[in-house]
Amino acid sequence: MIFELKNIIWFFGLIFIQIFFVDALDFGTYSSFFSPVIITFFILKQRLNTTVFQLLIAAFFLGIITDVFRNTLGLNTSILLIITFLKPTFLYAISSKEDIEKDVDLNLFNIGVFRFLLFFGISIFTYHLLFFLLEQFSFNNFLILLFRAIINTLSALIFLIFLQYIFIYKK
Amino acid sequence: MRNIILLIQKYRNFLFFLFLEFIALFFLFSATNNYHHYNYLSSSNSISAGLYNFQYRMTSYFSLREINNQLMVENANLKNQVLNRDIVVGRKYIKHKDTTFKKNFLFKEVSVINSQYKFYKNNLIINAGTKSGVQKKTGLIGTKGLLGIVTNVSSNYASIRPIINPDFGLKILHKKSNSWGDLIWIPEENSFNNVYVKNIPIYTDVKEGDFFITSGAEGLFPRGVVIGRALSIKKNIEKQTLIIKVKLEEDFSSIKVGFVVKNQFKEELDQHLN
Repeated sequence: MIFELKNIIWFFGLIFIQIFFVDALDFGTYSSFFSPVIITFFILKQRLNTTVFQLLIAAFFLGIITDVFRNTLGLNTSILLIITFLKPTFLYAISSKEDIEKDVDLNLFNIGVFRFLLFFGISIFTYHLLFFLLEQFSFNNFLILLFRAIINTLSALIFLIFLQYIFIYKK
Repeated sequence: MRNIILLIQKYRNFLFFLFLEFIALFFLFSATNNYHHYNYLSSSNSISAGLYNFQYRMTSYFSLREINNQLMVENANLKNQVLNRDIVVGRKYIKHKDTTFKKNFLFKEVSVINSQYKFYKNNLIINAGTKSGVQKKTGLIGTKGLLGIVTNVSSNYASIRPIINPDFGLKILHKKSNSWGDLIWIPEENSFNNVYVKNIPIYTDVKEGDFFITSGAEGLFPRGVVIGRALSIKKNIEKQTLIIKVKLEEDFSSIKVGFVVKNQFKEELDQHLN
């Protein structure tokens, strides 16, 4: 179930980390290249037997709350909904249906490092690319935008690996 | 009829996705196109701004030394101006309650509790709202220079559109020659500490290090608030104008204090502007 206590803690925890830690990091003049979004992790990590309906509802509220804090009303929400809808497509593009159990969380330790990097990498890259395109609403400076998307994807992945080692890892 | 219901059942996930996506995009485009609505869904609402305020109170302690230094430098500058003016004009010429000396601008000190500087459309939040007399479309200046314009006010907080936002636009002056120019921040080309000034005629004598100041024309700011210094100058031959990159005086990654500018004669001025 998506509405269990552990998930609710993840929900608010990720928003908290996103707003007050990731967004607050200062990298001097290069800061404008560095604005990764890690809230996608909540949607991507959900088990395969979670219904799309529940996922969409969760994505909507996750996006709206983040948007209210970042004052970008509707921006994160719309992209997060697209990612939620495309999640099965991404997952089955990199692995067959039988490979992954239906009732485990999709994280680094359950699906393996290689599949984690591919699946989360593709999803988060798509997120950032669509996000910057919609934010800018034009194809001007597309190369810079692509570069930003790659940098942010890599940094988001590093963040997520750290997070999983801190909060999920069990010996 | 049965077939339609079956069809809806088959594609219910996709339809639900479309429905939510439509709401999100509606929010996105209506919120960017007019900023009168959605007071409760902007970051200056009481819950999110309250959390930012909490974070500010936790972390501002560590930058007290810096804030103190900024204020001391500003104080020294102001003392310089005031005392020198006293000598030039002389006390007996300044009359109290004379209408020509009526106070035009009032300043209210505020803390900047959240400052975005690495996003596309940046945004600041200050800890003063309608209860402290802050209104929409008033200016905000920092200790060193211009910061932005108030766009959204709740009872205790207000959000500011800073210079480093593509929607910000202002007519400004080149201090030496008094030429008018337009201030523009382009997110792809500018970082958070520089902006472009365009539309200054090509024959104007602009050198590196020259100051750019507010004109005071729109009544948002008093005349002469510093914006920044010229960093590099390029010529646009087709339009016969200069494109000047200006380094901002304020460092948007470390603003803590600011002053909301209230123009007492704004309504009167607006009658003439419109």
